[in-house]
Amino acid sequence: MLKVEDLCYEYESGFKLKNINFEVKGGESIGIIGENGSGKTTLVKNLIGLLRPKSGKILLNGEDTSKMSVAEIARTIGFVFQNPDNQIFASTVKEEVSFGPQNLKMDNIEEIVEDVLKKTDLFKYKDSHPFKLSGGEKQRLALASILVMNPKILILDEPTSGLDLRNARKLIGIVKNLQREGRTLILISHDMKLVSDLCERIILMKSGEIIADGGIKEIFNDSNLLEKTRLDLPEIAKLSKILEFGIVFDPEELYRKWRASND
Amino acid sequence: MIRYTMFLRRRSILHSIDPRSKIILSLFLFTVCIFFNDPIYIGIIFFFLIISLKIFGKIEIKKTLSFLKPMLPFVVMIMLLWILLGSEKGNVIYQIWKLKIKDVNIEMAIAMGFRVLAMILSTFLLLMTTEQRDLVLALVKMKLPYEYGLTIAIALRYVPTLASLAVSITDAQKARGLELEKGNILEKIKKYVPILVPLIVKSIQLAQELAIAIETRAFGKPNRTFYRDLKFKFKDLVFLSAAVIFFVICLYLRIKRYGVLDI
Repeated sequence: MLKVEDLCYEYESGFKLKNINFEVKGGESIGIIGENGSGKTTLVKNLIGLLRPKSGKILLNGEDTSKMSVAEIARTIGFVFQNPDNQIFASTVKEEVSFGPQNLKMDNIEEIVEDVLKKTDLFKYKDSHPFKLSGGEKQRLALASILVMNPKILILDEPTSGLDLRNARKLIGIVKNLQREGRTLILISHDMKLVSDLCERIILMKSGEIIADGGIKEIFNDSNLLEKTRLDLPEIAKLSKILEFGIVFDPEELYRKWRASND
Repeated sequence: MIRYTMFLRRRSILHSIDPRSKIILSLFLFTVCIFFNDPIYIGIIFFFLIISLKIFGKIEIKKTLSFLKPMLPFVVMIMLLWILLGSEKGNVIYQIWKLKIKDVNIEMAIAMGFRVLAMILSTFLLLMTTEQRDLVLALVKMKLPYEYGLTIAIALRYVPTLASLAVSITDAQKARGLELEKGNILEKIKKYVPILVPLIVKSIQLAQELAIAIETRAFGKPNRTFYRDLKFKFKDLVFLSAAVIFFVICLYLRIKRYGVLDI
């Protein structure tokens, strides 16, 4: 679905993305992780066309994105930015969400918008002012305003940062529903618990390079790699590793393994 | 790439001079630019400034020119206005329809181009060789009330912050399919609404947060002391005397009507 070939990018300040290669298949869920300044956001901005690669190619369904505008790419890749306040401008939630579809000149906007508002549990606020929404609701509004363009690939940048548990869970629930619909998910996060909750595959970045790409359990089991990138595993995974059960994220599964080993 | 300040760290005479003398020099240079309208005189001032920045400020000519580059459209506009709408006197050298292009006006256009550039350079000279905090400190030491000094410091400090905020907002809206390049002028202006609204809202939020931050650090308590102090040394006196002599010479030339063209 999405293929990145030898992508290189360089900022004026000198920071570089070097030889990025990976492929995303339809329906996959990938976590892009790495320390601050490792190039996660730069990579994603290249994917959606806000930055253009210096060399290398990005193929979206086999088509080179270098000839596509950001708006054209947005039909397939939706990027939910970290700070919802950076995009709220309309005077009602409904108007805010319909901005994207209007730009893309989609049909049946009314219908699509209502549908998305229901999915993100914002329908009751459809005529309220977006600034009146709480933090969690604003985050869902940001998601809704991207989701409404019906992108096949959804990129989330720290979607739960600053949210309380209830709002974070609600958002995760919505994202899980989207995964079930078969949407491809790319998640940028420092929260390993969230990553392990949502993703099966991890792309690990350090200083502008991909240093590991593979299954989440495989990478979390590689102590060398963890030390190199100062990754902090979820507590449950640490415990299962100490007990030598490999990487387990589900407490019940860990309990079953423990019982089985004691019998 | 957004720069936080125009200041360039170098070890040079200009950098070590007391900022108060530099403010006065800057004002002198600015005024002298208004004295003359002969392209040769103003041209000399312009090149003198670039070369003295190189010699006394150790700032590469290339760097100076790169700072001037963004001002070019403004300069070109002024020159065009002079060529098209200048004096009625002089000989017509070219005529298109009712527009008469005259030799004196071309001469004036060159002079005015140099004048604007030299004026910009005389302020850049101050900004490129003086740290912002020293500049504000100098103004406060020159009896500007501290509140105003702080206001200037904050304004300077927040220009790049707001600029990078504007970039983030534009990125977020582009990811929602906003295409700024398309459409006629009216449509284009309308397209800036989704960028301006969040920018204004965020600026107000920033201002409120900043106000609280300042208040918590005992802003407004009288008789404040200074961590950094300015000392007016002998070399500052020499520098200031040179600036005064330069100004007086220019003033004399102006009174004797050297470097002044009658049109």
